[in-house]
Amino acid sequence: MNIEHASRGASAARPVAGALEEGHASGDESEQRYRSLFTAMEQGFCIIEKIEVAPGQRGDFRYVAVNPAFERHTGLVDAVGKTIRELVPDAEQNIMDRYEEVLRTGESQRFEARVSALNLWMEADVFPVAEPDRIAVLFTNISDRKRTEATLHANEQRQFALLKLSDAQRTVSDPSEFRRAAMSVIGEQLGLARAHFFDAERDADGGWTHVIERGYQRDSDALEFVGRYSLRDFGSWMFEGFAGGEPVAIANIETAPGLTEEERVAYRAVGVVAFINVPLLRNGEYAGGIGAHATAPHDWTEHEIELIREVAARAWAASEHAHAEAALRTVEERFRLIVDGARDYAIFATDLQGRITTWPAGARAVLGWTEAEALGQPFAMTFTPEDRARGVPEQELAGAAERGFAPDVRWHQRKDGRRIFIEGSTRALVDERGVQTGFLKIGQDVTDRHAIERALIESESRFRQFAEGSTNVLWIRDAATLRMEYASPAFQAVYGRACPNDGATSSLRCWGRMVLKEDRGRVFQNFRRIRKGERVDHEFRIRRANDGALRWIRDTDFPLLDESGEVRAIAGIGADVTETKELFDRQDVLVAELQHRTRNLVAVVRSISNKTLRGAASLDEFKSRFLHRLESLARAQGLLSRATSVEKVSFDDLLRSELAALGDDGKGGKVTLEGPAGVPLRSSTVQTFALALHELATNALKYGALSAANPCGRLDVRWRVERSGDGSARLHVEWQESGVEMPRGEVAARGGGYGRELIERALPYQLQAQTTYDLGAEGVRCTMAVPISGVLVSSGG
Amino acid sequence: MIGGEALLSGHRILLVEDDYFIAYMMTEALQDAGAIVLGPVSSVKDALALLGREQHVDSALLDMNLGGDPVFPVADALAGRGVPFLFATGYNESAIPPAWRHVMRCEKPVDAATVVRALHSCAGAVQGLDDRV
Repeated sequence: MNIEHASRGASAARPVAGALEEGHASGDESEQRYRSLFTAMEQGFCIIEKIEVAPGQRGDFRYVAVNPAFERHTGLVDAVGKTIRELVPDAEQNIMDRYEEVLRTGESQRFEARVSALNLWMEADVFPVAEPDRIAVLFTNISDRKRTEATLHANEQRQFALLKLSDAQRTVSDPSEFRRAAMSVIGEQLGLARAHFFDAERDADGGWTHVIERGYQRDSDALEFVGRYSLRDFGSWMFEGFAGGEPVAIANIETAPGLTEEERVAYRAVGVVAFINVPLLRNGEYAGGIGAHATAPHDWTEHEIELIREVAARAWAASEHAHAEAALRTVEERFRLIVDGARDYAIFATDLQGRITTWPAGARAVLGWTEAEALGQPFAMTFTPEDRARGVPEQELAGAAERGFAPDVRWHQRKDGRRIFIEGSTRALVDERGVQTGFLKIGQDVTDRHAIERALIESESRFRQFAEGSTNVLWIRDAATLRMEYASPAFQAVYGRACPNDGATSSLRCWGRMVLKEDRGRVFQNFRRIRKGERVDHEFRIRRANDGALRWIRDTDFPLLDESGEVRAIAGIGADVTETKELFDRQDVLVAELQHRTRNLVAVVRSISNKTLRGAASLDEFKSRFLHRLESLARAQGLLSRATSVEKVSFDDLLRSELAALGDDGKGGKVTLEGPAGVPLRSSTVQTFALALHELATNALKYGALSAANPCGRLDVRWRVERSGDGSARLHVEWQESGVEMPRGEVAARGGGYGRELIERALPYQLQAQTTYDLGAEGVRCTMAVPISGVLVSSGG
Repeated sequence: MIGGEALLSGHRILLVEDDYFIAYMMTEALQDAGAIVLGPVSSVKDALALLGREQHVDSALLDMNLGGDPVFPVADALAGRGVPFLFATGYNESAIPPAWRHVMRCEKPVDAATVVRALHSCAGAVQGLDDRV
């Protein structure tokens, strides 16, 4: 159909035709020569003869003769005898017309023509031959040249298009305007009716909708194609290759196979006869593309598709870049705002040598220098003189250069000399090629917080030392869970197990198991009170974990409140008060005992004074006897006060102290003591026993064996311990005087009255003793069997 | 003991006291007041034995500490028989078990006249002794 070039005139064809005619006329040799040429030549050659056709039918020619090159170039085999339209039904009409014209006019023609069905470009010489209705066609296959030409043209077109695109890119900054310019390039370059960008959006049902923006429109009065179009209306099956980046090119929607009439109507409605859609992917996903329309059928060549694709890609990249740039500008702006706005932070940059290159408001506020004062100055000026002397700023830069980052947490110095504690860092700044360009310093003034933290640390450390040094258990439990949050090391010693350190051991239940069951309910009740905000002092018993010992714990417990006054934790100080308690208990007993003894003693003294008074003939006698008896009581008390529950008063001690109280060792040689030492007496018996011994000894001194009036008098005291079958023990004492010249009965009665009563009545009454008392011819003989503790004490003597 | 005879006349009083001298003195005082002294006894064992023998006891004076043993078994026995009694003690209240703190006490050294009056009032409260007087 394409006729690129045609020249009318027969000059070039003439010799060939003439030669052929001559060959027919003159002899075999010539004939042979031409035939050989005919066969060997590169050009295709055929003689065709017009045939008769029915009226209304299109004209046709029959091949009369063809050479081998004809077959080679056209691919038509055994063409002789067949007609052109038989072999090439779609034969281009313009070529057929040329043939008719040559036959009719008798003038040869030369033209270039494309036979689409044979994919053949030919440069043809058509000329009449001698026979009627016949013409000869001599043609050169120029398909290769034509292809090269087309490619050249396409390249030119492409170069031109891209040049125009670059121009647009240089002059148009707005992404959408640039895209419109790109669409104009496509539309104008390819002579199309429309070209536009579209965004692809997923429908709810999974199909696609193209959102078409204003692009190139050749005919300004034609229907505009802008807005949303669902592909469903346009035969969505055609577009399934989009996701893979495959373009869709339709030459003619009227003849395109597979389209329904409805779909064709849709295309007609928007004035589209031919179209091409080239998809564009963003991050590998179908995101949109370029559409171009023609209002007449249009064969989309590879070159056109390629051109559209290329322009689309460039326009897309440019517009994406523009988007990214815009986004970047936004980020940079935001960053600048942050840096400028952050008044609590000093954020500034330095060059590689540490000279300050930016000094935003935050740096001014935190460090005090104005921008004019700071710019170009060494950043080391923000450090303290001591740190500067130690080379800290340089070390920081070196660290940041080496590792990309260096912490900066230290005291700094403001312009006014005030010290501030900065918590921050220094980072190396690198450009996009990775070359270091300087440093960025970011620091926050945390002086206040730092001071508070330090105070806190100090106070905590003080508390810890206190807590860890204490023999008391300092503890804290969470108010909600009652889990142990802290227990001082004394916990181990007091409770006999390791400090609670995990979920199991820190629970109240775990601790509570050590508390005696009888006390546990009360203790837990107290914990509830503390949790409600009360202070509680309480004592309870525990079973110590390591040795099972029963220990008394005294805890002073109290709530710990948070800022809002709620009980955050409960805490306490606990001590093992078992020993203290025992001491107190013992003291209570001792005090009670002391009272008892004192009051008893007074009662005894009263009774003694009564007795003495009744027995005394004179006040002098009363005085002497009473004092002696009191002294005896005092001695017994002295012995008792030295005695303990283990070391009791022994009989021999008591006896010796009474005899010693007689004073004047004059009894020397007169007294024999014989018996085991250390026989323990019950404390309750000592006093009465002492009084009895006192009376015996006093009487012996006055009237009996120890009296100066009885130089031959002797006193033998013998004692022994007897145990009976039931394990009880008695001390048997025998007091035997001899060599006594017995006084008259009256004196004996007076002197022995009280002593005798004590021995015969008081001892049996009070000590469950068995006693005898005789005044024999030789002197007093007395026996006493007194129950004793039963344990022989070997000490004493 | 002027007028004392009338106070406890014919009154049978158990005296439990481990100290011989105090027991002796108290016995004299009670007898002076007209009482018939049951005992004195110096141990829980003897006191319980005496109570077992004596059907008729009007009241009792109990020393709380009998040679180291508490007198409470005797107090229990008396309380069981509804016999009113007094404690004579050198101890403060704090040393007395709570169960016995309600019992009237005479603190040593006991003044005999005080004991007589106390015994009279506690026996009277139970037996209406005052009405007879």
